Amino acid sequence: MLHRGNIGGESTIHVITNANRHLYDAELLAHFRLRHEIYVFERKWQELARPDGCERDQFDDQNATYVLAIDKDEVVGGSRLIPTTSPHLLSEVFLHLTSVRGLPRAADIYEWTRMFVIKSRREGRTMGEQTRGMVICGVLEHCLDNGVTSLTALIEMFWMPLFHAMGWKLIPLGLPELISGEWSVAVKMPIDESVLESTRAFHGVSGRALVTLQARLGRGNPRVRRAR
Amino acid sequence: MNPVAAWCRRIVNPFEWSQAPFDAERSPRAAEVMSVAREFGLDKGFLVPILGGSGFQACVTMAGEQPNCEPKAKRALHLIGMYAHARCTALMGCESEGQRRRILSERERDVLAWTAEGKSSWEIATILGLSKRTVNWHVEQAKRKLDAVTRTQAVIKALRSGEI
Repeated sequence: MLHRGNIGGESTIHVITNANRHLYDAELLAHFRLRHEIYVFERKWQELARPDGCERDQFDDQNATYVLAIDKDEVVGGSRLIPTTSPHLLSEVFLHLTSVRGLPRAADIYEWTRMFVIKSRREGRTMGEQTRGMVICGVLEHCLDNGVTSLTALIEMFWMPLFHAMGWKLIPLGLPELISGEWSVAVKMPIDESVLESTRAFHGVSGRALVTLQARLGRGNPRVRRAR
Repeated sequence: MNPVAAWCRRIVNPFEWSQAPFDAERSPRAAEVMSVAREFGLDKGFLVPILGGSGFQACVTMAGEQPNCEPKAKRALHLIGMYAHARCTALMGCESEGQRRRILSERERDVLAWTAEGKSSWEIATILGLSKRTVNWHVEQAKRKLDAVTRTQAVIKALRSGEI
């Protein structure tokens, strides 16, 4: 229903890589600020606090890909992907969490981290699950488009039921550990079209979440910006 | 009155049964439950809460006379609990989170969703093309179905249960 769409806002999902970063300066900065707000203030992961109010670590470099949900120029959600062939969280900081099964490292495996949705888009069926669902579908679509077959992640245990309900397979790489006060486990998650399908069905997302290349390129066009 | 069941609704992390608080003097029934459990050989137990979209959803609990409660074992049990629950729900063909049964009608949900956005009955009537009286009627129906005393409470309950 049209008005229901207006309630939650229509987010579009954008993929930002080193190649097109120049089109998204403002959004990337906004997303680092949001990460700081959410990870340092809300979740109280004090070790991530930075004096400039931007949560950026050593893995936010040219190898990082960002999947952001943007609603009329406002960043409302996002997450980060890093190829496991580059240094990443599990390889450099949390290697001990992969002590049972070992660290997966390959060109077709990405590490998925720093997932967030802004507070006002979290509650409820129309807004909350939709934004989160769109970001997750965007992540999956980008990965599948690029031949990625698995994701690795460090997830809090309480997210496991959600992933299982979405139809994902989670392979623990080690035993759970207390990280920043929450029990977390390193997992490998194989992904394919069926995982994308079940994730879309779960969130009521129909069709592709990622914006087209044209729409992305149009963002760099000053005429298009002024028209909005 | 099972103290373990009461505690598991309030806590995110797994816990040993002995950690579920109760006052043996003020809740003799609770003490009785734990003592009967021991008679059945359930001396020590461990519980893994499973959280769904709106909080507590289920739990996986295990017990015995001399269970291994070493830290490493408990961490493994935490994992086992998660997978046991996932497998059971899959086998039982339970309604997934995405297929929750809804109790409000489309209109009732629309009206509450706009109320959650801070719109007045008059504004909602304009937005939805209804009369103000009809909007208020939908609100009353929603309040009745959600067992809410006020409009605000109805919105909160609807948000919590994923209706809106």
